[in-house]
Amino acid sequence: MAKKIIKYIGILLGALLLLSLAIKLMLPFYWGDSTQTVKYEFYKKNADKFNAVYLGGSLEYRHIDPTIVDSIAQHNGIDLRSFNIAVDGHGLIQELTDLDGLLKIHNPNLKYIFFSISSDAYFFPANLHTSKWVSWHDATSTCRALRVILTSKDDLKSKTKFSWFYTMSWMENLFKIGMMPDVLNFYVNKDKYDKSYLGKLQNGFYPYDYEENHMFMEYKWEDTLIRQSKHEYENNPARRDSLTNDVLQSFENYKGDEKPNKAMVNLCMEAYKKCMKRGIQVFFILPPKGRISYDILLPVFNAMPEGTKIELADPRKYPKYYKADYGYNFHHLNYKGAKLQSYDMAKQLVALMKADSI
Amino acid sequence: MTAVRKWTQNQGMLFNSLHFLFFFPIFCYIYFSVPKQHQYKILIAGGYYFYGNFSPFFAIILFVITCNDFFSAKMMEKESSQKRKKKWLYLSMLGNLGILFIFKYLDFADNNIRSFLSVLHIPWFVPEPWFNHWVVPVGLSFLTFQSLSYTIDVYKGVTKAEHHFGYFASFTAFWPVMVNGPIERAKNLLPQIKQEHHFDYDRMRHGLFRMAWGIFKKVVIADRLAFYANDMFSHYGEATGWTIWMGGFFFFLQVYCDFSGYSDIALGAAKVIGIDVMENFRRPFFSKNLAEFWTRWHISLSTWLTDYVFFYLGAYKATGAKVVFNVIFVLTLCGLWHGANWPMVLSFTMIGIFMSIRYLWQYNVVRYIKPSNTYKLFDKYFPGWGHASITVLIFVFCFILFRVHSIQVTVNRAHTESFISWTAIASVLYANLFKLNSAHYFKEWVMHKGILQFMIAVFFVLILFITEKYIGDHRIEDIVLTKPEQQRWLVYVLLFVSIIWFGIFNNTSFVYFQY
Repeated sequence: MAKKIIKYIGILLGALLLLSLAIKLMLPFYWGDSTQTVKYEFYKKNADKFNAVYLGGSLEYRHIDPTIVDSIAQHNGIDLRSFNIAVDGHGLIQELTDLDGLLKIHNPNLKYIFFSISSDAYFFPANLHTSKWVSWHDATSTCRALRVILTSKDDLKSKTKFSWFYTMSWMENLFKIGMMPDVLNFYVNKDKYDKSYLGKLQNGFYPYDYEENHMFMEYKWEDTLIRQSKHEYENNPARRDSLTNDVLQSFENYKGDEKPNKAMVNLCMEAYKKCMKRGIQVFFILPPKGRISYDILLPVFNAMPEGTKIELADPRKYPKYYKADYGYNFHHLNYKGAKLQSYDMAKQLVALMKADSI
Repeated sequence: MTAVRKWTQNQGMLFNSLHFLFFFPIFCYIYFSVPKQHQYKILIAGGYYFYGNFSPFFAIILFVITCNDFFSAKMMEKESSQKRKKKWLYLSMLGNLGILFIFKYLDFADNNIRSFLSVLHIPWFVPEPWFNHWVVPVGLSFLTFQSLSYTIDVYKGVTKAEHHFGYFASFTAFWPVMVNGPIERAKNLLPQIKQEHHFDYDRMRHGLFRMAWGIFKKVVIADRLAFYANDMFSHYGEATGWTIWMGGFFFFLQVYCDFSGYSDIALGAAKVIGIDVMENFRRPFFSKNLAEFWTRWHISLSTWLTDYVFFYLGAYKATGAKVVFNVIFVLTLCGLWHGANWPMVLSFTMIGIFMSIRYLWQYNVVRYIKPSNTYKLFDKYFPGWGHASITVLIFVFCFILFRVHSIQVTVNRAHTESFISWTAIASVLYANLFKLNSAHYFKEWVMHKGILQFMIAVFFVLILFITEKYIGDHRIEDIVLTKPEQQRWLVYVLLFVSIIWFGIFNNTSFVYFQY
């Protein structure tokens, strides 16, 4: 009897798995997120126009203006034509998935990839069960996440919980659990997705200052949240100072001999080697205002090869990023701050490239 | 109190959760593995685990209710005089209804007394209540009514008192029906609990299919419609005419799919473990009038109220105004059972008024004109779906008021600086409802999630209608499982794939959990 039941359950699951795999074959890796779809579809069509790409989350998407970086680089005789392909909420694990997908897009001109070190494998559990979150999970990404989580210094409860979340998300994506309406939506509406996410200059940079006034967002909950976060930031100087102080402490206390999370280092190096094999130079960025403690990020960042590191987070070197005038909310810069960061980043990049050419 | 509040943080084990997906097979395995004379113990353990998962505090309440009714019924049976039996019945009622009142109605009563006295400028001696943040134990109304029916039946001699505490405890802690019904009767459930249950493959097939159908209704239809219902009601100030009617209809369907879906899962789960539970819904939107509707919607509650209240009021002998009073009274009571707030109570009172109007029409007009040819012609040519549509329209009209309380709570929570009364919300909604030449907010409402998502919602509603039309008043599993193997498997795969691919799995709780 038990065999019979298991057989029938197996048949149902097998049929479901086959159908789900067939659907997966028809979907690009970025299908679950409308912003990402807009950006990658644009990049695919215009790939040959760009020789550099910024990967990462909102700290890159909302902070790095490729036009500024390009113009400074070009002014210094460096041929840089970059596109900001970063998307809100993308952490280290998803960045690697993005990189795998990006490298599959044909672009013989691609010479530089900017890779953000601003997160570990933890994420907001509120994202669970959404297509945006679930759609990119597979066996590889799950293994990567588990390696980081299981070697982190967190308590067993958090480790177990987040390991389970990643495994569950993978299963959900494998069987496309609850995702079919979004799959259909992708096929029917992908050309109608809002192109504003590409930014005013279609370079992939879109600061929150623009987005909060974007009329298309009228019926989405995000605009309320964005404005709310700004309001809280402006009216809570104590929290602002406390967050800045945390970052400052991390930098002041950093001695240089702290052991990084090995799994995170390996993942970053995996990205580095993968790109180097294809003749693509990787630059690692340590952005300001990260959500994750710089106690974790700094050792990982410093473990990266020399000549590849662009550090922008130290409040002692860049105090303006942490001033209210330059901030949009607790973890993001406004347009003014973004321009400043793009300028600082370009300067460091030019110095690195010039040193490399010598 | 902090402890009570802390205990009530848990979302509990929902039938549409992963937790239940693990719980159910493990429970079944243990249930069928233990010696048959011990199966009731597994039922108790399962019940307390299931209920205690919402909060350990709830499990204590369950135990108190169980003890109260077990001993009251036992003592009742010992007594020879009817008068003394009645005392035990009152004790049982006091225990059950007292718990229900304290948790569910005390705050409501306090607020009303306070408001009433403030109108008369009389100070109320009770200080600002400390109980107004109590969380009502999940499904308390179901629990108390189920347990209460037992002592009333023992008092009336319909059923004998149970002398085995374990069997009785497994009746009150019968987890499939515990938090969301159907409100089962002891005379049906207790004899089945006492029987030995062996694993039966055919019962399992029937049960699992029924559960799958319930999950489909819940996660594919109800949770999808919930978005549209919530959206319309949260824009009650903008929506007019047909938008409100559509939103109200979606809300009605959402509640139907949610609640009947839960009942289907409960029935199916009980079936797998060898116990037959009463049907709770029978295609209510095919009812030709409100009286019939009431025999098809939440059947276990309507029969409970009919058996223990309506007949008690003398339903058999009553005519004319007495019937009108009885109907409105019972429906108002039904509204009060659903929620301790005026909009919910009055929405059911409105249904009672419509039922009474129909009764008066039938009693004073129809029975005289029925033999006439005009009436026969009308009866012949006015189609069944016309009757059904009018019934649904009336129900939706009343049901919109049912939703007003939750709108009020949401609005006042979001705008703490000003307070809006439920009457203000209801008057806006009903004033806009009759602007039938308009449909403001309709386009935004449909397009909010994109036309495709709306079409998917409508598609599954149509699937529901077609299926329910096709199966008639039969059980869906009885129809499907007698089909040839290929057809059966086609249905299995379609149902399974629809649930997995189109279901909404973010652990949304069932609407009726709050009652």
